[in-house]
Amino acid sequence: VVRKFCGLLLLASISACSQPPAESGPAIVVPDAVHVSLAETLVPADPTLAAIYDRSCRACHALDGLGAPLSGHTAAWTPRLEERGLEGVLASVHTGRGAMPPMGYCPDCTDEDFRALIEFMSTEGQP
Amino acid sequence: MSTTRRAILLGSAGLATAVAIPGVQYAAWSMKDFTRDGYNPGLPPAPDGEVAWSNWSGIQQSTPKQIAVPATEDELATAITGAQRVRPVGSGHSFTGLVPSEHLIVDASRFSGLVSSDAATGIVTIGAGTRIRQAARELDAAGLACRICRTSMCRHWLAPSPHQRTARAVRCSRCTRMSKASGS
Repeated sequence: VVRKFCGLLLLASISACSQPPAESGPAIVVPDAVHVSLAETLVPADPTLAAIYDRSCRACHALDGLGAPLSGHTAAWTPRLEERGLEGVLASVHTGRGAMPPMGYCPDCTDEDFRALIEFMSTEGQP
Repeated sequence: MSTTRRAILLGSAGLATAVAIPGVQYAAWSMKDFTRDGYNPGLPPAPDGEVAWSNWSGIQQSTPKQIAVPATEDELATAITGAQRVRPVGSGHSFTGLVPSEHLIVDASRFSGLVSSDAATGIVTIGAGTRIRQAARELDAAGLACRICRTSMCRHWLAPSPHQRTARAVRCSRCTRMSKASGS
């Protein structure tokens, strides 16, 4: 009886300690040095979009280590777009996500602007 | 004194209990839902003729008649003329209720970027809605701030000291060393 009791206790303790942490969001894809430096320089070709990107998106999406997928780093964007789709990612901009407040610092942006910015940031950057 | 089989078994049981109790407590704690009922960090529903605003955490929400995002001083003047209560909004990361308004919220985001800079005096004029990283990036380009590396992160720093103005021309890793050497 004592042996069975000990066995059960050990099993319980092992299973309690080996619980995996709760999953939240897609896996983090760590960018390499090339993508980190690319993200710092990429800007949309369209000047209106570039102005919005400069004042609203660039602070987080061009700097590594802040949790936001980097501009031009498609590997980080693909899991998000596959999981939620473009409209789902757009919905994340509307409601806010992570450190990004609702409307992603751009209350005057239209959904078209947001879609174009998502497309720009998720397109693989060319050096 | 001899160690009996019974003592070993009892000792193991005690050890297992000592590990299991905090383990189970931790598991129970981490499975709890601490979100208050009805909490929604997203934008609140806005009635007709109103728009929705929420801060980052969702603690502050409001549905003003308009969120004005003027691009020029004339547009700003037009927006606030006749408005009852005007509240300015920044980036929405504060927790206090300074922004919510039933009437007008003004977002200065479009007044962004470097307006003018004087490298000799180190005096610059930047738009009132410029976020700090954009300010740092543009000042770096103007030779009035320094970029340094911290671990894997590159940062722009606002620091118009002569050392750092020199340092901006060199690569990130060297810049860190120079900053340390210059004591800044």
